[in-house]
Amino acid sequence: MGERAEVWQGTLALMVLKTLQALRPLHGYGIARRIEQTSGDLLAVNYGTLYPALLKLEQEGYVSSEWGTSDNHRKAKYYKLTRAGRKQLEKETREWEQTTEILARFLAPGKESA
Amino acid sequence: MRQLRALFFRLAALFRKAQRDRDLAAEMESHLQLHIEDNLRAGMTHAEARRQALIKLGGIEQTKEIYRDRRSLPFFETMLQDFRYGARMLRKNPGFTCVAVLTLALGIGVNTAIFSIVNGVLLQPLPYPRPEQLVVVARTAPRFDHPVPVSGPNFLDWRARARQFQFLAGFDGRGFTVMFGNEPENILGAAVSPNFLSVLEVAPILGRDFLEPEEHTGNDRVALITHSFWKKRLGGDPGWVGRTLTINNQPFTVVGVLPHDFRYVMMGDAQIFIPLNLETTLRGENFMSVIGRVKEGVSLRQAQSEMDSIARALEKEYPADDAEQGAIVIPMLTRVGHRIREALLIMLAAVGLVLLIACANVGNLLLAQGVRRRGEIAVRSALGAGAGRLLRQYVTESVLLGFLGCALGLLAGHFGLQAFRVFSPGNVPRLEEVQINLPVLLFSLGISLVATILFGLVPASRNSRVNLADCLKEGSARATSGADRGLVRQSLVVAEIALSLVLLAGAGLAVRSFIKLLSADPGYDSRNLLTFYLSPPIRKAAQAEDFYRRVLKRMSAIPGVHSVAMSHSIPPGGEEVDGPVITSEHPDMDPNHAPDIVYNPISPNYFRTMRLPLLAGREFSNADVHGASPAVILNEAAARSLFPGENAVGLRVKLGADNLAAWWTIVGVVADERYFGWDSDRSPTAYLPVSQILQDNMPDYDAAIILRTNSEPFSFLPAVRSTMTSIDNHMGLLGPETMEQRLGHTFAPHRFNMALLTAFASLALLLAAVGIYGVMAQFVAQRTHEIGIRMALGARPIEVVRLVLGQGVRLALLGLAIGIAVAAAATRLIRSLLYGVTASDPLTFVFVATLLICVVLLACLVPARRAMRVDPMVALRHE
Repeated sequence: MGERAEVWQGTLALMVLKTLQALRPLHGYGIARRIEQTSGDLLAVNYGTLYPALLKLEQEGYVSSEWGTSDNHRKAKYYKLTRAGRKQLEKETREWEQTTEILARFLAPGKESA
Repeated sequence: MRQLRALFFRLAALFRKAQRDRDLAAEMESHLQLHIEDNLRAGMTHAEARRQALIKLGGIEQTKEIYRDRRSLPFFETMLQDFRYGARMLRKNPGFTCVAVLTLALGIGVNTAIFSIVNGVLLQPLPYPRPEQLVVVARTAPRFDHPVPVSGPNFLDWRARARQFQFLAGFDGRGFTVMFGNEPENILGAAVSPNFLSVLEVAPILGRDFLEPEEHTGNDRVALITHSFWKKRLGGDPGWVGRTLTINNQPFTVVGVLPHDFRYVMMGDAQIFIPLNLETTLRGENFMSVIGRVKEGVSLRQAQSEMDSIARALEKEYPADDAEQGAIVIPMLTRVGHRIREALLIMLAAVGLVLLIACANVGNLLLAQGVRRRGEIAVRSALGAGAGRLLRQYVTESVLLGFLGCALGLLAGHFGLQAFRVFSPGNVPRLEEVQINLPVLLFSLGISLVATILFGLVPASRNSRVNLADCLKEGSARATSGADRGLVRQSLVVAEIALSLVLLAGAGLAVRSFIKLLSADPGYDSRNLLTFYLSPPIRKAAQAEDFYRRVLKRMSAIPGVHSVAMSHSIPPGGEEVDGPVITSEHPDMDPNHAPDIVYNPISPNYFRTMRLPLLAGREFSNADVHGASPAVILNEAAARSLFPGENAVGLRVKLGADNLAAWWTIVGVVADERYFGWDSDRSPTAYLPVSQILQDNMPDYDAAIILRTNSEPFSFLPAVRSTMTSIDNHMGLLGPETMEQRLGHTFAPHRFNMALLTAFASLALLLAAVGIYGVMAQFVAQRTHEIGIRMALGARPIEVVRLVLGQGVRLALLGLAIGIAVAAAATRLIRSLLYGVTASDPLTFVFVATLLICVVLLACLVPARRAMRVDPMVALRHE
């Protein structure tokens, strides 16, 4: 696992958690589509990478899964956020905001650098 | 925390894999269907919808693969796979598996059993609080090369002067006659200083400990009893504390019961303890042992230097008795096992060799297995398995074998230990403490690991290195392939034979020793002799004389009894008393440097009863009584060493360290009797007339009675008992045994050592035979083709047999040569177990070498016959 994948994995997890916070329990395909839509189709999610990410979140206890039936009566596995997942989402959101803020300061045409 | 939770789930995912795979497949399927439906709605054709969905997913199988890697632990999964595969291979070859696992289990089992004993007896801390502070304090004297007993007055001085010790206590093991109703019975016990239990830091569970004044006359009729004696003999009634027990015809008040797990390690079968009264004992009379507890933080060296200065002071104060007498402080743990240590370590070395042979055998089996599995290995490496991966597979299989062997070996060790307990001749102290506990388990696991490395590594590295080209050529180059592998296997067999020879030589020497011992002439006629001890509660010489005169007279009146004698000790190994002897030729000799001689007071007809031939002079008569001129009879060993080349009869000797001791005139010389059987040969002995040495207030008037009967001695026991009752109805016979039984006791430890060594050597021989059989069978299998050609060209069957046997004998001779060289050096280490043979006894070596060659030939015979029956047509068509 290279460093880039790590970062990607991390952001993907955050996106998954955020998606699940906004909506009711959702199946894998739904999560993938939702992420694409939210990103304004700027992000092309390779759907295959979603499942290991979901599995990892489940092993860590942030999401839980259950078999259910979709709107058009198809059996699908539904994921939902757990209480620990909600906390984790808050934490990661804060961290992410902090990171972007720091980065923004660096990238903005600053006074200090002059 | 989260990582741990994830790890746990990943570990759990190692199981129920099929179910999880189905789940994943279903999820993928539902994902695809949902995507396809969306695509269809967007207006694609069905085929296009499916294609796009698959592209977006990144491929079903790839996704599943990434998912699986995340789901579980790939490293463990491979390992489990290897284990499963290994287990399947082992199951598929039940013959190989059974032989390998059993071989290992035997090797590990005997090691576990013997190590558990070594651990329990020699290593495990003593079963008392703060055991490292416990010591034995003994006397040293220039005449002895080992620690010897201590006298009462010297012990009392030690106790009064020593500052480095928290406590010092005296101990004197004794046999007691205890009355149960009207039945006298012999119970082993001891007289101990009142602080004996304080030394061990043990307290009675019922009643109280001895009090300090109870070591003095008037207060000393009290007793402590062990828990098992209280339970088994007194019914476990708590009311027994305060009641009276008749011991040696005296009433003793039971003051306490000892804890149920209490056992005195130096005398495990002691059941009754009474106070040790030292008031009438003499400084020159050394009979007791001393134990102590050094103060916290005091080192052995500090304790020793204090005892040294005390001993030096006593030397000056009591030169007559204490000149050149030292004191030595020995850790109690060392002292407990000192008699058995060497034998145990030899056994441990022997089982170590057995394990090495077992490893060589299993290694051999694995190498042979490797040859059979070449095809499989070739296919696997052709499919891309690297050498590392194949090595890992082999190591996993070895570990599996090692693990099975260890598990079964522990079981075997458990039963081995049980067997040891049953057959042990009772000379192993603390045997009841021995168990397969954590250190033993760790030891067994450790040796299993070492064994696995030993037997597994070479075959694994060899088997995983497969030359594909060789394997392909295999068919046409059958005769030459595997030559180098054969060399390894042959070296293993040579090593096995060499190791077996070492063990066989050791066992052979033990067997020869034992035969020598059995056939050794004790000097007297040991058949039809009944022996027992008496311990009359007498304080006066005249009473004792009268008592024993009556006993001898009444016993000899029993029909069928030829003669009856009394003596202080019964050979072999009775409680001998010894001391210096000074001859009339060197009357001024310092007693401390005078030769040592055993004193044995006897009644006049002792030699007639024992049938010990008189060589010169006369026997004692009823005229050799108190007041008459002191008469002594020497045995041949004494006469020869004290008066070389002279006729000893009529010469005089002075006995004892006491300068006032009288001169004793030698009236006769008798043949030697063996007192100690194995340990020493003929001890110089001085026989003294009992009636000339009896004095008032001796510590005891115990003596042995020996009856010469005209038939089976035990059949006389009832008559002897009733005769005894008619003399004194409280007097029990202590330890009645035939003389042959007594001899048997001294032989028993040696018989046991011999049996153990022989068992280990037989095991080694069997393993070596299996090993050489395996190698020869493969030798023949590999050369079937060649043999076929030879026979087709006119070789006769006998020449083929010679080819095979020749190969076997070559290996055997090489192994023998190495083995004999090693054994010649190694058997020197077991010298202490030998009797009457030298460590390099040529007869034994020739015998075991011949035995080994015969076994090797037998093991080669089956493969040789198979070679002889090779049908040239079949062999050539085999291509």
